[in-house]
Amino acid sequence: MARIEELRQQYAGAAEFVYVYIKEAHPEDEWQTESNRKAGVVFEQPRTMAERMRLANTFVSEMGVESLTLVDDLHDTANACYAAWPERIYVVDTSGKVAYKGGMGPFFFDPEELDAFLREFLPKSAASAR
Amino acid sequence: MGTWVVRGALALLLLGVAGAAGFYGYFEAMKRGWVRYNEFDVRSEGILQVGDAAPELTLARVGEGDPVPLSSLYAERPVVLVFGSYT
Repeated sequence: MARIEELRQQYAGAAEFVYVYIKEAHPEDEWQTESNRKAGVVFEQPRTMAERMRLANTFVSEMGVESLTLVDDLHDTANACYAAWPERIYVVDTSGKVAYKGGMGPFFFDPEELDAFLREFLPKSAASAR
Repeated sequence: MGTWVVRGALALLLLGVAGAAGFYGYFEAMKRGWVRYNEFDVRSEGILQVGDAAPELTLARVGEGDPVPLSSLYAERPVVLVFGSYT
């Protein structure tokens, strides 16, 4: 998460960074992990939109997220459309096309790959917009 | 006697190599989602590909809850969408 924040600052003005909060990966009542317990990150899977919004708020404040953060609905529509769970990165260009699809998290969630992509893509994107 | 010791050692070595290869293969399959950890493991590669139109959705902004169409995000600049949760 810290690396994503660094990238957001690095590419400020050239690309928007937006978090999409989706269903929890390791809630206490489903698939809890020892590392989360040790870190005190212990939450149940939200069952209502109000609960999901509250937990998303907690996520934003605890993680110091400064980007715009959107919250998936209780049907997990965004998750389904983008095959996002548990975490994934996309880049959408100004024509609304998927320009980059990151690997499936957690093992292939790769901010360094995103960085390499943006380094090449953003100058071309800016040139074509002129 | 010496021959049996060598054969035994070779057999153990082969078993070790096969075990390590099996473990490596199993772990790689899990990483790619071909093997599920458990019933809650719902990872998917999905069908969306580079070049496809990004699915248009309207999602609630955290806090205020006001609706934000995704298309409004990439109107001026490319947008990096980072999907994830707290846990």
